[in-house]
Amino acid sequence: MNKMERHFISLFHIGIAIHHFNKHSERYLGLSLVQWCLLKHLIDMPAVSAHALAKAVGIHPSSLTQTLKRLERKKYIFIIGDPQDTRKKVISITRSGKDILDTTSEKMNNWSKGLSGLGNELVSIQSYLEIQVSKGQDWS
Amino acid sequence: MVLESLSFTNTLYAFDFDGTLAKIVRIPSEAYMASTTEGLLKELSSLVPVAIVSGRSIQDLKQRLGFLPQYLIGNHGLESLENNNSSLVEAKKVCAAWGEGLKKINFELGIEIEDKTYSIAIHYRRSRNKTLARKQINLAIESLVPSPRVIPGKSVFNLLPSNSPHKGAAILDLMQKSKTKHALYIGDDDTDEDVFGVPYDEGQLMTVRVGRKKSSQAKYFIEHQSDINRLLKYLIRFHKHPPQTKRSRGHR
Ligand SMILES: [Mg+2]
Repeated sequence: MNKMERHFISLFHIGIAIHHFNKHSERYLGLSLVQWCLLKHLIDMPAVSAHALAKAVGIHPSSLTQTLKRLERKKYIFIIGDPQDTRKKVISITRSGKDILDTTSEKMNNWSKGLSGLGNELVSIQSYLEIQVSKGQDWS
Repeated sequence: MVLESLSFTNTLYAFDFDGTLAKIVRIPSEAYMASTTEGLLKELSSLVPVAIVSGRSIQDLKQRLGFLPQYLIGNHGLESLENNNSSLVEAKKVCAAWGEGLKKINFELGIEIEDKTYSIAIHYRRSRNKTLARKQINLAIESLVPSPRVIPGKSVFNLLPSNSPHKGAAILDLMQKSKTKHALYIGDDDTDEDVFGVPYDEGQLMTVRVGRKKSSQAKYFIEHQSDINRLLKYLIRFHKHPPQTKRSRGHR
């Protein structure tokens, strides 16, 4: 196996590890990384459409749907019809959502100390992956 | 409960005066906040940044308030507590010229001119023939040089220098000054559409209109001016005594 291949294997393992980390985090803290990230954005956007939230987080609106449903079931957010446009929805964080975010953020801060040795590696990996995806069909 | 979520971030609470904090009255100079409203607003402003954004001049507003909130904006966004810039000097000059031009209005129609130094309000609330009064006023406005920006309101035409900032720009400016990430704005009139219609980043501003109106760009409505007390009480409660959830009481 050459060096490049070893990098790709590592990326694959990172993907799996993040998946496990998410599950672990949801189980022990009550929030997965994705859920935490959405609530973190919702704090400063008190009543926002799914579209605007997705834009702020930097993901496609369709990738939000499942996470929003889970957060709503846990009563950390509530979703109401947009008073101006019944086809749209407005999302808000609840008091419970704010509370879990506070407790989780504290623990996340402790965890993140383990990452303090990292420089810009995380950003580099993210940029590399996003650039590759954005190239789309050029891959073939 | 959307209101509660405002208390989780740094929110600026901004209110129009006439028709929002104070009941609309036949004689504009007799408009005052109900003492309950004033007490509640004062309490809210001890907890969070509060602004009154009005078409009245700052001097006029100050006389009507038993206390000063952190931010006071007058003349539809043109005047603030600290500014004294060249646009005000220019506005004053323009309004003086308009004052002359408006003298030819037939005042027997119950039309009143309110000179607010940096803008002019032409009231016709007391007119018996409002259609005729509006016609007269429109004719007079057409002859003014330079042409004003006209914001019609409830039985009033507001004339502002065409390049003057409006309430929407004032709110954005206040958000920067108060270092808030979000603003709530409540108003009742067409002049408030300048705030309701400003293309803010979605999620940055919550707009509320007093009285339902289909064509308004405000997102939410309260039915009556008297509902303002209930709204203020909610805001105070959320900031002062947040309702406790199981988690915040400390047992899981
Ligand atoms: Mg008003």
